Amino acid sequence: MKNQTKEQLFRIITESSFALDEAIQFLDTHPGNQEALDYYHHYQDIYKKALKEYQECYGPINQKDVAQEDYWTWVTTPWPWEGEC
Amino acid sequence: MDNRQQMYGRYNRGYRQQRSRYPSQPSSVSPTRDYNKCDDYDMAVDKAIDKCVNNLPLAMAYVPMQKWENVCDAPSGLAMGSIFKDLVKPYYPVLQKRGDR
Amino acid sequence: MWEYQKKLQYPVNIKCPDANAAKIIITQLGGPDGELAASMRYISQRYAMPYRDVAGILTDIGTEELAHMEMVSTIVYQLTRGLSAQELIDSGLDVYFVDHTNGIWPQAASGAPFTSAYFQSKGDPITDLHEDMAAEQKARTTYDNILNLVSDPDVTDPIKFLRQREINHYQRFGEALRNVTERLNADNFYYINPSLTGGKIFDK
Repeated sequence: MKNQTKEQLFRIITESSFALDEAIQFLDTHPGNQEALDYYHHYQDIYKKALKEYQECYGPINQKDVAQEDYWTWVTTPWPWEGEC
Repeated sequence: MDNRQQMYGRYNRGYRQQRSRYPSQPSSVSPTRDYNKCDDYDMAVDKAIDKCVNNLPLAMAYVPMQKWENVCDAPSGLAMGSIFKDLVKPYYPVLQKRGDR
Repeated sequence: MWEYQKKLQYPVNIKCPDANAAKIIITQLGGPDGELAASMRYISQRYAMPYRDVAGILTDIGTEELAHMEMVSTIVYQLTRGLSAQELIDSGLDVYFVDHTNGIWPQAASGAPFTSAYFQSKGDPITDLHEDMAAEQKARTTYDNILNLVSDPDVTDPIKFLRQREINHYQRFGEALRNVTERLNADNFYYINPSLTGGKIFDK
């Protein structure tokens, strides 16, 4: 996870979060499925690591994970609907 | 004393078919289509599906339980909108393709 | 309870505003088969659901639909920001602009405001899951129709993503229905409403 750019980390967060969404819904209807559980834990690990590094370096994704202690960056970083354009 | 925990425990552990209190209904006999009119391949496929679906209890809808297979990684999954390749079913926008404007 | 994450489930970056596309896509926000209706439907149904795994899928898909609501709102917002007066008048979006400017307000393409009348929460597991399966198909068809009317790849890309999610959700609700019927008496699934008996099928 080291030496990833902001965009690369954000992409990893978006992708692994989606994989988790899918695994979660499959597990809701197949709670005992071991392969699904393994997939979930695999991406949970990636997601948590990417999230930790992104939030420490670039700004918060979760309101309860704001890492910056000198300013409330929750309201200074862009909102998702602003887009890149 | 709330015994809901005990009930939920029973019903959430596994899927058990409860023993029937009702006499079995006689199965319906009339065929749904004239098989003489189908070609051989269609007949084989139809009969295979019939064997499964037509033996299920009536007056209910049934969706097959998906198996954990043909699962792709996160980047491909996000791009397709699904980590399950078997569920990817794109749409062909006829009006766009025809150039309706 | 809900927490918010400062990201979209799938990115939306639209370079060219388009009032005509916005006029129809808004229906997936506040319309009868849109994401807000879907979310409120599933989240409302989960309380009376006597089986925890089914309450789980209702909660999780209901939450994902809130994220989709955000995506559709973002699409409409990016399609309408920076429109000129002439573009608004020519497209007919002036009647929305006069009441909402560039704000997002949940309505159908017809202008009808969002209402709970768009969904049902019947309090019967079999009924509610059939409602949910139908809802996913209605949403899919609406996205199909949007794909017939819109061609900009910046727009069709997130729309295709959202459409695919409906198919996956249909499969999950179908599986949840199977999980419910597995717990019921196969000779008569309708003998008792298990939400009235805490999931038990024999009322004692």
